[in-house]
Amino acid sequence: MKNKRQIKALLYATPAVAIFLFIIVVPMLQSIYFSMTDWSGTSSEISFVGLINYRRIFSDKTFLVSVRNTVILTVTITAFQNVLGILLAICLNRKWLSRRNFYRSVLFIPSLISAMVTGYMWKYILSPYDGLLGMVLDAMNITNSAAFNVFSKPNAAFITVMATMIWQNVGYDMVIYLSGLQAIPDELYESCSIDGANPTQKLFHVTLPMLMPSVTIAVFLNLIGSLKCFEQVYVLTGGGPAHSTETIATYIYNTAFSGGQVAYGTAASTILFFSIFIVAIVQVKFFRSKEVEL
Amino acid sequence: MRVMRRKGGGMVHIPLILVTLIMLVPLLSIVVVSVSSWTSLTKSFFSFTYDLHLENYASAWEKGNMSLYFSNTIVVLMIALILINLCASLCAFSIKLYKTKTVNLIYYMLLAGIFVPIQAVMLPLLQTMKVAGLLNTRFGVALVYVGMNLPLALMLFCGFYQSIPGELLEASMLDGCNSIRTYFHVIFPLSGTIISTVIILSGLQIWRDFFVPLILAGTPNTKTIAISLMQFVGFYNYDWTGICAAMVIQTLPILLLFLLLQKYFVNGIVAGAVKG
Repeated sequence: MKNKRQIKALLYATPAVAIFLFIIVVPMLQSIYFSMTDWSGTSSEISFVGLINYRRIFSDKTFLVSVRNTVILTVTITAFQNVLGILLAICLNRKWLSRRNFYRSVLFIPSLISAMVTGYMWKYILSPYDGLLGMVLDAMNITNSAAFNVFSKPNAAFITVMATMIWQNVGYDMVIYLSGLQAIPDELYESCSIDGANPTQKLFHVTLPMLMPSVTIAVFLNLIGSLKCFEQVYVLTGGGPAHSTETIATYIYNTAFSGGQVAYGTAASTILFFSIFIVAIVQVKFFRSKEVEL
Repeated sequence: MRVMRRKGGGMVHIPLILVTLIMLVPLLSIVVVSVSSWTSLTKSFFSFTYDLHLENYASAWEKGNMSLYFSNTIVVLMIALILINLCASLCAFSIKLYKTKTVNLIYYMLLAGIFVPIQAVMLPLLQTMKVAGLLNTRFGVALVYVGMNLPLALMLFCGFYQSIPGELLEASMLDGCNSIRTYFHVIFPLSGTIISTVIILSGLQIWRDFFVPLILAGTPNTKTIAISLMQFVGFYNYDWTGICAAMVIQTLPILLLFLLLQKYFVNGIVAGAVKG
């Protein structure tokens, strides 16, 4: 009887497990295996070389730059998106604000559009010589469009990539925070008013603590999303100029897919997987401890 | 303060309008470029004539190979969405009904899938698909999306099934339903909201994803709509009016659906985030 239960339970889980094993687990394990070989992607000979790829990768300047960029990018856009998201959500949660549904929809729209589309959109707007912004500035005689080239300067290019990502995702965080705000009971604010709290005190002692579960979720999603970020960088800069905007994801693409160094790329992707895993777990543990129970 | 509130916001509108403009102006300018002629646009920006060049859309449709890519996307979407919902709800049903250690372990294994960066699995996957004969088939592309979207879908279904009282299942089993009938007659009809959430979240992901077609789709027969933009990117020059028109074409369906089903979209995305 008990065995029959076990078998039936497994039977129902089989389709999901089979597909998941085939698409995610087995390739992931293979990827970890390839990272310890010298496979180039096309040769039929594969020999096991141990951890040499990992030792090499940590002395590879481009990889270290991509790690640094990914960390800066992740921290910056997570911070901006969450602060802006909370501010916008608080503004748009006021019942007396007119046209608030219009604002909400407009702010949310960019996060519905694919990163590929918004990437090309910003690339067109900012591109030198024939870009939209350059043409406007030209027509108004402010600056020469050829001189206006954000993608040729490392810092400007990197800031542009981050700004477009914030532009795209801030509405998503705002929606999460709006639903968090709506879950805060009105009685809390009323009893605060009776106790004589001013709006600032209400914000710091009621709204923000009660919003912590939403912060945990939004930060979690932002962290994972930006650690994996690929499309924006790929479209806007391709990692350039001179690898200055390379992230780990584009580094993997550039080495494994277009560079033909599969073993090397899979080593980087194994590192990325474990980093995401550790960062996400630490973050959730830490933020959960800050949440308050009513 | 009172007066300001009655007016409906007052000063709060200034930063909000600013942010709205930052969001809308780039999007609208793309729409404008998509219907203007490139030569008059580059000649002198402010003197461009206000005539609509709707033929940009026709040529973008042609050049972007959109008829084929749209039908590919729809086939992939259908296969993937059906499989995601079926597999995830069956698995969640098993977790709910039997509560054995093995299925619980399976649950956690699938959840760990959220952390897997797709770049990590793509290369070995390419080899496996080749061996399995699934490379360059729409079914193969759909399967990849099923694998990518299963973790979140499973989480949503599990969260929902936990809220269904166990007595309901026991009652149906006592009435003589076997487990399959319980699933199809009791559990499945209750899952409407979760199914719509999964359709919205996974559907959006598949529609917008460009990495899978970039790597896996070697032939035009399997490419989905997101990759059509690449048709306009030359080595040295970009066909900007074409790209803009193509961007509008592939974004319009999402925006229309969003405006029609706004409530479902927002609820779905919040549910997906909260459970995540």
